[in-house]
Amino acid sequence: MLPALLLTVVVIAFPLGYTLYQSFTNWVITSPNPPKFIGLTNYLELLRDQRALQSLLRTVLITIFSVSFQMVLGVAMAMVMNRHFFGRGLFRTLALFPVVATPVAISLIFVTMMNPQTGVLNHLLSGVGVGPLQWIYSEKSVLPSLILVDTWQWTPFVMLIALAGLATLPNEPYEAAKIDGATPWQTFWAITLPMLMPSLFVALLFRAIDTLKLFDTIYAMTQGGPGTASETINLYLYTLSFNYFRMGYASSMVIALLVLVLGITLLLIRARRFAEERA
Amino acid sequence: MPRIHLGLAVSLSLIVLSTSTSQAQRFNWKAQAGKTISVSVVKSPWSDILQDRLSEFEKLSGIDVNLSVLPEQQARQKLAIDFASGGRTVDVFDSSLSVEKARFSQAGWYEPLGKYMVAGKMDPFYRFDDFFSSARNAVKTADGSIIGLPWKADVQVLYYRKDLFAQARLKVPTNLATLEAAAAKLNVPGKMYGYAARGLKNANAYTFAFPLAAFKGSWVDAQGNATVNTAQAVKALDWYSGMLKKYAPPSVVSYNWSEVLGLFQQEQLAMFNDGIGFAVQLEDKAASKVAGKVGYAVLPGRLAPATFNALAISSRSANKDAAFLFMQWATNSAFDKNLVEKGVTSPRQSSWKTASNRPLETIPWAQTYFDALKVAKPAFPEVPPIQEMRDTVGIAIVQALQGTASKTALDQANRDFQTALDSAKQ
Repeated sequence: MLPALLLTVVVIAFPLGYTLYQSFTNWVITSPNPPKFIGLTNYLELLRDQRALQSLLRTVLITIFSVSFQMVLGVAMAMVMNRHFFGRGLFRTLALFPVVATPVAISLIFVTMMNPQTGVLNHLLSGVGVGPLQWIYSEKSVLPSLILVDTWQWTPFVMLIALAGLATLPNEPYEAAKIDGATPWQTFWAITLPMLMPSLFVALLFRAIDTLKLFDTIYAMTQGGPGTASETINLYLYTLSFNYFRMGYASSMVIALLVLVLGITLLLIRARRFAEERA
Repeated sequence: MPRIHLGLAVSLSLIVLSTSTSQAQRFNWKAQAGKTISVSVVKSPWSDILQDRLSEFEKLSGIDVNLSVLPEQQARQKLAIDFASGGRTVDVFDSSLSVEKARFSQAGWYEPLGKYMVAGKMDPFYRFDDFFSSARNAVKTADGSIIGLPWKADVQVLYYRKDLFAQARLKVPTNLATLEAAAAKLNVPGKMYGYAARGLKNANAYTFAFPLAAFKGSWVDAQGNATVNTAQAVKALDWYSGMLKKYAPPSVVSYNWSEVLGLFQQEQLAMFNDGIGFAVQLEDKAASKVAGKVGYAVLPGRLAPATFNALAISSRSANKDAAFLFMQWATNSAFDKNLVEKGVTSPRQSSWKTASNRPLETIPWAQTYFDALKVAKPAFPEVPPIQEMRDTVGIAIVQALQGTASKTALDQANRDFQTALDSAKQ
């Protein structure tokens, strides 16, 4: 019991507590003066900081779109992979590659592919008559491009969880549906999807939490650019801590992000409980 | 008769030799033998040469050196954390003065070198005055104390395709009007871009320093207040964003030096301005399509925004004397001469004249580097929040490139920069 407790305190509780304490100070690493306790001043500044609020909006936008695409595509892929066809095992393994590869390596390869002048994606698109896209090099298309990369990388994760869920589904409801003459679409909506909800909820929770904290893909591809067009709150607080050395203010942002992630998690759990009670 | 003359000659030369060796022996390289020091440098061709030659120093001095080589951002972050936690984990560090000098000296992290640059602690043949004057000024803080020894001096120059210029019968631009005229003449939409420069936020502040200086603007005024939205600065941004919108690819908004360089190497760019450090890559016949076709010139208006790096001693170091021995070895005439012989720039004037590969005659960009350094001025002001300045003005440049009016964008940048300046005063 004691080792587990010790580990929890050292690895989780202490850093969290210290960050909370730091968020109430004005600590700047390069300041010759020791940090002063300033109460809620950092949080008040956070509420007025346009750059922070915009980064928060982008974080939520990326999460909503990216997770939605991943859920839909992941379930669709799982439905396909659940059938029996020749080479299914091989395809399942190949489909997992994006998830097991390093996010930074994927990001760098996509940067090369997305180069407007020399990248292979524009080359392929020009073959079907679509003009050169700017991908991550324009503030209008940078967020969709990042959502594309994130979706490509994490859809197989949702597929994996959905496949595991599908494997546990009982056969009787399907046999009954076939007798009743239900179409595949009706079968999916009325039987498969409701029974998959517990697994899908797990996938949704994991992906939502992860995407809210997304850092390495964005940092490796755009560093938050062009300008601040792809700067999420995680990237902004990284800049604040390690480029501007404003540890106190950045700590308040860390706590704010933590509250956001916890809030959304609780919201999702509530929503699921509500859906279960209705069903 | 000849034998007497010979004997006299031999004994005279022996006397001269012994006095000069005793002069050299007066400086004791082994004074700190047995100590161990930790050195942190930023990864670069300079650090590669240092790594190769490190064992020479260890043999000469008897000091053990633990060398850490990291990319610039990571090195700076690690240093900041090390210093902030009161650590004595680094003795000598590579400091990017343009970004760090004001900030780190405000924090008291540099050890002033005044008391080390004296007889007994400093090799009499070191010759600090041999460094370019801009490099010597760069290592001094506002109160005149020297906080580092010059390690790297990078200066902006104009790179251009001299073959295309010759074909179009264009002369090297001497002012902004002729620069734009040349870009317009050589611009072929979709095939050859007339002019490009960095567009990526933060990185773009370096190349923006050129038009800012050309329009007589400045980053801060004499009182240290932000002046990036003055009429001159707005004109500079109008020029910079105008040139990039007219003559550079639309994706230039995210270009750092590597993308601009790549475009030039792919023979799709006629002109750009950036640090001289990339010239070596362009002249590499094995990798570059444009080797031999590149012209170099001091920027129009005889401008040369520059950035400097120095080797500095940590004020918390426990081995300052050993650290200083290392620093002066890594920046002395022999070491710097070797830098030039390996194709890397040196901040020492003598290196360019004494190097065995006769750089001023054989390296195409050496003379331009030499000339540019004579008129070099720091690209950035000496205030603590340089990263904030580069970010806020960098964002304004990106916004101007994407259609926002320069004045609007720079007004916001000025507000944010002033906020950063005010909070840095605490």
